[in-house]
Amino acid sequence: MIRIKLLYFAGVRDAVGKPEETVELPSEVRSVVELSGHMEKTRAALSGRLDSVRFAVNETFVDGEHVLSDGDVVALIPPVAGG
Amino acid sequence: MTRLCEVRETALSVDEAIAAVQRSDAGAIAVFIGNVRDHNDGRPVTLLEYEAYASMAGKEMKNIATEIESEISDVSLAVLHRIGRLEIGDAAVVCVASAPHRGEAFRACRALIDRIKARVPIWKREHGPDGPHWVGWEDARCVAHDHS
Repeated sequence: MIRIKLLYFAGVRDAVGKPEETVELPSEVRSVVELSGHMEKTRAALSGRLDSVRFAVNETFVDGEHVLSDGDVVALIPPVAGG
Repeated sequence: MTRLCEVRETALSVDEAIAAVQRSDAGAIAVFIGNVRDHNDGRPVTLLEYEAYASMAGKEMKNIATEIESEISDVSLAVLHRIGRLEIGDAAVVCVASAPHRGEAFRACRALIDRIKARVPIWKREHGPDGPHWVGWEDARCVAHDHS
């Protein structure tokens, strides 16, 4: 069983209603793209909204193929708007 | 050399950023200051709330500075980004670049702010007459176009 910590920021946090949570991943969810699909399915507020969201694992941007490990801190990064 | 690349909750000091890149061999220092503007895409803006994934934002700004310093020879960079509630006219970001000559300093400073805006996990919630919204996320009115 893989357990990860999810961090939510800005519009994603407002949609989910909390800044972070720890979740156990079902066995079919191992990559970032699978996690994204899983979250859209299980969280109505994110349904159809994650196309523009990038993922960072342990503070580094990763692509969809990245495989998650137990204890990872996974941040959902909505479109950035610094400056 | 320690590089000044930080997210702050307090007012930014342009002098501090400049001091961080001053070198006796650098004849040029380029400075970019990003201020809170009173309008965006034709709508009035009264307040911007900035938020960061602070630990990653600091790292990503350092990564960007390191990248640019490896691409443009002999430049030194520093950046300060403010978060929290900012009023019109407040400085949200200060980018500075020093180099022996102005060409490299301007080019490095431009690259620094462009990559910060594209990659650093910082967000802003714009407040105006229509209520608040997260820029780039809830704002379907702002289609992709060039703000550079």
